[in-house]
Amino acid sequence: MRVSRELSKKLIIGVMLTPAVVVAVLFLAVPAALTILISLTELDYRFKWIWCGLNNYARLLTDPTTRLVVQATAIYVAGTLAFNTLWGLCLALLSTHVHDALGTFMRAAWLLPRVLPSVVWAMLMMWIFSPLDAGFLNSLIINMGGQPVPWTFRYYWPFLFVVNGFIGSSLSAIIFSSAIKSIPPDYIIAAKVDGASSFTIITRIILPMIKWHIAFFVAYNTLSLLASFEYILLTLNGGPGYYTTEVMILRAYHLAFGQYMVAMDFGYAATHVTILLVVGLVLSIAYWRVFRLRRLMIEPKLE
Amino acid sequence: MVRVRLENVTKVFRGGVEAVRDLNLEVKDGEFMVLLGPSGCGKTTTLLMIAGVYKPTRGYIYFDDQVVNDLEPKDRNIGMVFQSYALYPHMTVYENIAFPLRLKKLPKEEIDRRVREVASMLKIENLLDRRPSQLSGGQQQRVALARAIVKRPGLFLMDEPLSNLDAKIRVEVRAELKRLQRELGITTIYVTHDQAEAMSLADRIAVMNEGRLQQVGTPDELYYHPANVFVASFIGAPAANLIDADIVEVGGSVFMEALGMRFQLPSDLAQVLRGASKVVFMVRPEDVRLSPGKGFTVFSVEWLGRESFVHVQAPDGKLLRVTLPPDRHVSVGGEVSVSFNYKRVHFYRPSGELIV
Amino acid sequence: MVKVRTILLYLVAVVVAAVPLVPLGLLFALALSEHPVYVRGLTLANFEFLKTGVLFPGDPHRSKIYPNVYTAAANTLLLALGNMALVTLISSMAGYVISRYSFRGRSALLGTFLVIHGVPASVMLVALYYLLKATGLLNTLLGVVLVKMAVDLPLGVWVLKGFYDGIPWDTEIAALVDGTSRFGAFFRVMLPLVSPGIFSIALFSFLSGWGEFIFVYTFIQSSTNWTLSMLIQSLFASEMGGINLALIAALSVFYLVPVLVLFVVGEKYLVRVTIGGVKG
Repeated sequence: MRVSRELSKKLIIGVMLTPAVVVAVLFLAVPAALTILISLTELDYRFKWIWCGLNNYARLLTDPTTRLVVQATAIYVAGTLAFNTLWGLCLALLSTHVHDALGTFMRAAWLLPRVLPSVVWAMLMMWIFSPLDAGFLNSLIINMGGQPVPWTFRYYWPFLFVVNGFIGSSLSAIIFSSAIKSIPPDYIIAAKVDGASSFTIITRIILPMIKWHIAFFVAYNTLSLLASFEYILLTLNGGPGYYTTEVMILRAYHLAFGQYMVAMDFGYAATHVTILLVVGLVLSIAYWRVFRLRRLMIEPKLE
Repeated sequence: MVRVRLENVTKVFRGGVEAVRDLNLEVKDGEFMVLLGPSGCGKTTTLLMIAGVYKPTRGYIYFDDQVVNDLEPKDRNIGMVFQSYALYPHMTVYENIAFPLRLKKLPKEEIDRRVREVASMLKIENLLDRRPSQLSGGQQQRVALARAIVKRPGLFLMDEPLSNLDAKIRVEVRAELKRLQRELGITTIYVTHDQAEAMSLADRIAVMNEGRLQQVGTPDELYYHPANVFVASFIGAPAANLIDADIVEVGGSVFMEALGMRFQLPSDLAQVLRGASKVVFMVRPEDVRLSPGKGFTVFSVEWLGRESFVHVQAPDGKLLRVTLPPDRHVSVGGEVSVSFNYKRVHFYRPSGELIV
Repeated sequence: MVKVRTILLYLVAVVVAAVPLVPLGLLFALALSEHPVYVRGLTLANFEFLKTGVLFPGDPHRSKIYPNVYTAAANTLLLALGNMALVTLISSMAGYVISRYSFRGRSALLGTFLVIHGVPASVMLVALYYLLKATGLLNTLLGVVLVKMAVDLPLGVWVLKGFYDGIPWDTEIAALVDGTSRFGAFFRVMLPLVSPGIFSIALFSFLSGWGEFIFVYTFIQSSTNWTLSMLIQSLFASEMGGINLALIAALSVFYLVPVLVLFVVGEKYLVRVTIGGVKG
């Protein structure tokens, strides 16, 4: 009897947990290790393991495109993060200051781009902001007698910020508005009784009370953005021109899966990715410490 | 129906927390036993061990002379009522009550009969189609009771079931619970931190503190003969007065020096206490007598209708709690002299044990 | 007595709320447009492909390059359903165990999921390509389903764990006392009580699979295995010269129908998943 109780507990844990564990190992540990390994080789379309030590890293440092790539990454992350955070805050503040029904509708409407398949959203944005005469905005402008604007040719960063921002700001809006809603109303009432204006209430009470949430989002989003590239790929694909919007992860992707089938330079691509991995890991651990995420893992009660 | 015995039961949790230490307790067949103590004293842990949810680290638990340490909760034939009622939100009241019977795979007619029988016993027949979220606290509690009763268990376990009820309903439900238990004759172990509740419900009370059993006895025994300082202070409201005192012998007579005054002790107490030095003197508020005189000042008076609750201040500044019958009146600031009913007082060593 | 400021506030709010809906409206307008590139008129001609699934019936050359729409749709459905089934199944079990049992390595496992969730899948693409090729799963839908599932699983586990955490211990103990085994308690009581969570994750993972592009783009080569996302992207990339945007728009509308329906039905649940993912 005693044996069977311990055994049945272990059995349950085993059966119910194993699939998840297998996935965790197969899709984190193995690829991570593999990536680092590949970065030390000259693996390419021949799929032969040719070790070359840290050559790829040296190549990275001397490669002239690296500077462009790092620059593009920095601008992309900073700009999109700013858009996501600030616009998300605006959305959250706006949607919590109006009637609940309208607020919920607003947040739901802004959630839509995020839920749409990426290709559809990207295609839509490209068509609307197309620099050609046939682009939607330009066709409107021409109809009104103006000159077509080379949207994505000249204003490519704002364009990317908008495309990605619409996706990212819905996340921040949801987080911030739920944080705002959980502020005990007593604080707001007390402030109103004291005669504070809406602006003061926002800046002196609401914002300080959701500090943690804002910090958390900034941290989380930075990490995501470092490795996000899907919408860039689908719209400008690193252009226009020579690597103007080629963020690091996109560069890695192009190196590996080629704009031109001749590429397939897996080794060099893995080098870029490894650097991103390391940065990501370091940041993750830092966030773990800072946000004391241990709290979230309270021990269970039963045996 | 079931006799429960705990033998040297100890429970240590992960991290070294000793929740229950060396507990020895026997609950008689059909008895209403209350486990009483402050939060964290180990009473709920003990209850859960009896239920089979926790396993004792050391020691044995017997149901009728059979060791049940390794028996699963579902095989122990117990009915349990929780503070939160723990009704299944996704089932109707009927389904909640029928659940244990369905698990036993009883025939449908049998289940239906028993559910309705128990529902009428607890006067909830008209609620059978509702969901728990549609019921009031008192109604939910009855459903929880019904669910526990319906399987005709040998043992009832209750974990502060009345704590979530309004004060007024609580008193009524208490009486009903007692009556029900008498009628059904099922051995009951009941956990609470409310000493008034314990005193009114129990056949016997087991007082616990910091994982250890302090005293087991009938409410009478615990009230009039507390075994140590903790029990003396825990049982009874308003709480008993516990005063540090010195025993001195002057000229053949034994005196107690306390509260800045000297009290002469009667000969029977004097005999026992001669030779002792520091003691803790315990006297209940109703055993303190006030008479016109000097020595103490009346500090505050609360008139509660059937009695007055008075604080008098001693010469050394300490306050003494006194209850007076309704016809006695004293005014704040007035001077009184104080005497004790020595037949009911107790003396304890500073470490807490009883002397007399 | 309504203040001017309040009216202004509401006006702004309504306008802001409408902004993301505009592109969607334009898509529909383009799909119904009589002109292949500009929004003009109203016609259903662009939806002709729905009859047979063939996109360019009069053009034998193009018809060879682009697969039948319904083939692509079937692939998309397979991917979505496969992802949904696997993620929901595995995370409802794992979430329970992590929430209710204490075992060695629990913190490590949770931490691992946290890290996987935080670092996007894009960094794993090179390694995954190699792995899939090595196991012969390259260019198969199964390979894509597995990868997609692995990416969505951490979120599923975190969200469901949160739901399990929210069920009081007493309820589970009550079930044990009433006569269930530990597994019985899971099946009869815990699962029904976390069904909102399961529904949320199912919805989320279905939509996630339905809209997936990158993994298909990277791992699938034969056009017979394309999903609708691949089809639309390749059409757009080649048709960018501006030949028939309206057709692409119509195809997109077809692609979007389940998304919009599920979004309207389950928006509340999707929000829950979003928040749950961040808390984890």
